[in-house]
Amino acid sequence: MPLAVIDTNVVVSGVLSSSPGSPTVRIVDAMLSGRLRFALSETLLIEYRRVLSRPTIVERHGLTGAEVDHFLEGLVVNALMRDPSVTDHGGAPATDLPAAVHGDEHVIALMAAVPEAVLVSGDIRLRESLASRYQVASPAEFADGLK
Amino acid sequence: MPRMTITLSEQRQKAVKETAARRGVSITELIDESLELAGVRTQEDAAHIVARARAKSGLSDAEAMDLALRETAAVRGPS
Repeated sequence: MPLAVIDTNVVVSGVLSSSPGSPTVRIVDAMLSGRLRFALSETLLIEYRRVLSRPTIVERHGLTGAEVDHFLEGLVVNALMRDPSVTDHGGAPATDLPAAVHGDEHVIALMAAVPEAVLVSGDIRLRESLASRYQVASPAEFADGLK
Repeated sequence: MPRMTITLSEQRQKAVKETAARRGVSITELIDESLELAGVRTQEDAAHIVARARAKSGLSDAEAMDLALRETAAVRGPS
């Protein structure tokens, strides 16, 4: 199982989907159980929390802030925390990143820090913009490889 | 329930017993509470929370992803 970077939309969808066995549900369950190796940065973790705490999302999942934090703690326990300012080789990440789509820079920076990882995202535009440089997969494609 | 043996200083052991007696709880309950306050929780708890969220949302996979994409885009700002 390759190292993965799980985009926010996958985590949020995996919390909200009532479809048992759906790709995002399987990915989030694998993150919680430690069956999936995934990298996470503090910035991406903060974004998970921000989106899960938005009123429209809270209205759907019904969780309190403490429960959202508890869920995120369950993810962090199994995450490979990475500081995107430093690559695995000890240097600064490549600066010639693909033309960043506004707002996605933190995801691109994390991918630069773990270039061997697969970016799993439900955002087709983001996948297409990074496909020439990194491995990318839709939730369905990635979940196919989960046991 | 599995048992676990831990080593505490004599003073800490005395304090644990006294606190449990004062509060009218067992030592096990006191340690359990303390671990909870320290943020030591089980993965099963997190899985249970997610299961509850999924049951409440009533969204199909496609609906959940649409909403997740919209709300994530709102946080990331206009592209």
